[in-house]
Amino acid sequence: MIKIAVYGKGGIGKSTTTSNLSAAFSKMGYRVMQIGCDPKSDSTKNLMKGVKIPTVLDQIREKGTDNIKLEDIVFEGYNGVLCVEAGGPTPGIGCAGRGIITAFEKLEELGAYETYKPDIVLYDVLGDVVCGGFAMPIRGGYADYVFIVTSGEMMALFAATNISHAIQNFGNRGYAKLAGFIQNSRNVENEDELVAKAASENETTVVKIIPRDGAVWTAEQQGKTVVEALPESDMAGEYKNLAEKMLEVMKDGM
Amino acid sequence: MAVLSVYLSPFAPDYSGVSTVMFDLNTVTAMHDASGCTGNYTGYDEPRWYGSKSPIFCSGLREIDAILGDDEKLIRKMLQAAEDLKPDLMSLVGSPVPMVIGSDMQGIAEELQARSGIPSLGFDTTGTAYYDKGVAMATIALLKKFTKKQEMISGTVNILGANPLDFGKGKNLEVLRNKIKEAGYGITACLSMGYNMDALQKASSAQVNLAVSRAGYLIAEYMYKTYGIPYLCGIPVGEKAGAGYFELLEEVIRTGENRIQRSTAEEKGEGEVLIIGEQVQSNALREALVTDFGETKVTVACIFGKEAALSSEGDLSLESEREITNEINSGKYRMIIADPFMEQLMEEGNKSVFLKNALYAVSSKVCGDETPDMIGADFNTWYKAK
Repeated sequence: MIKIAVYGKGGIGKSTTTSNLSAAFSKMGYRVMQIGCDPKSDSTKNLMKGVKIPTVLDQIREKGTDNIKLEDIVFEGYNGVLCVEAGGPTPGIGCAGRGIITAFEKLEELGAYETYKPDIVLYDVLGDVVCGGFAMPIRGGYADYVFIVTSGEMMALFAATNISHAIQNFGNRGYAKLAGFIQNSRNVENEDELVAKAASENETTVVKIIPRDGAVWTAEQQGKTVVEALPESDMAGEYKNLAEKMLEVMKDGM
Repeated sequence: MAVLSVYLSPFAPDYSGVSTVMFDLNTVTAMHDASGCTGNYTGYDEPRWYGSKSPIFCSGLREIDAILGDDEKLIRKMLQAAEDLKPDLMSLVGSPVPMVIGSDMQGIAEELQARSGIPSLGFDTTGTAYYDKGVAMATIALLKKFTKKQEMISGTVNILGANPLDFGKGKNLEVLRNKIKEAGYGITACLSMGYNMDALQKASSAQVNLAVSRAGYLIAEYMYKTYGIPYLCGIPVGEKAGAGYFELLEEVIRTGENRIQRSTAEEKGEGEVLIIGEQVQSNALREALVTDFGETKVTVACIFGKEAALSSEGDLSLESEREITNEINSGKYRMIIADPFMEQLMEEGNKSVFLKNALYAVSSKVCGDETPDMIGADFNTWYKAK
């Protein structure tokens, strides 16, 4: 089982990239589980025909912490991808970071990984590592590798650098390794160079440049990933290629 | 409000369980808290604390440390303590605040080990689980770190789940150790009370594990899966029941299969006698009452959680003072065996006979001496006198 955490600035396209990756990995024959780690809980929407699934914290709230079963929180989406949303508190109250920890502990307690035996687990994590809870996916025992989605925009690169530093700071703790940047292009000037420079400054590489393409929007209008809605499109090919490249990078590191 | 405790003090938590396990080893332990949890452990959950040299410290967690997640401060303090005390091992124990802010105690311990070169363990204890979970968590972590699979030595046993919160200062534990030796067995390790690093490392060579508490059962399950050592779960309480325990031990040796000391179907169920407490000890008391004194209806009520594999039909899990009070006053029981603190839960007109069995995890040093002599025929003498 390979566990991958996908980080990046809010709105940069993490969920789009992660869902398309899940779909692409599943088409390659892998059993995939995607875990959304964002209180807005829409990471897996495009794998579930545009429908938001109940989150782990919703179910804990509704049924009580001891009365939850795996089938209450794990849902099968496109091509058998197993979808989970950690969820979070009502905006403005509670503690979203602690929510992620609780959701992760619940998945572990219920034996989610042993039961479903996924080959690949993808954690799609909220914008920035703002507190301990959002670092949970990269802790020992969770993700093995971190990929950071970024564009050439200043704020996206700034967030990518912060996340890289956080991972490097935890070098002695047996946490996940930074495996590379994924460039989700926004067509800004000198974008490829800017992202490559930032990657190099953070002692990593750009695994893949994903072009900006209207196919993503078209697919999302149908509540689907590009891999599902437009399987023959160039963009679907780009995501499949990204999946292959990521496996290659992780193979080198193993 | 249904879970509010008006008469009973909070039961010993997981961080105390972890700390008791570290007590005997040359460990520097830091509880990551503002001092209340450390005080709770040293003041109320560790009967061996006063007069001992065991170095257990409070990290002195303050508001700004919680906000900033200043792990470096904790690591620096530990490195300083390591320099002064030259421990064999360091451990970091979590409490409610680290739990809420998501401190990664295991990750911090990894970093501490990398920087000090001293084996270090971190425990994500929260203060919201009971001590038995902590005892099991810490012992299993120690086994994972220090105990490799090795050749079995015939005729040897480990005692698992021995801890002061179940055995106080260890009066009954000492008698148990002697009984085991008298029966011709060698004791490799008594985890995790009255042991050392050498015994811990040899623990995987024992032929059989004797789990003497719920924590012990959890450790025994781990050791069975990891090292293939079969276990007997129970305590030899009572003269005849105690003899039966040693027959079961022989059976485990002969068959290599696990055994749990448990009464048969006709000897359990509601009514007559209620035993409130820790599950393995309560099961053993029931076994003695049934086998040595002919009781037929003895109900065990667990207050620290009920392990399904150790339960008989009709056994209860009482999860709040309200539930304990309701059961005690249900009018079903001729006799109740429970911690002395629970006597005050008996309502006016309740005619049940109340026998005191002090549980350190409930009443601490306040009732420390009111524990029956349990092992073998000692129990018969105590019970008859009552």
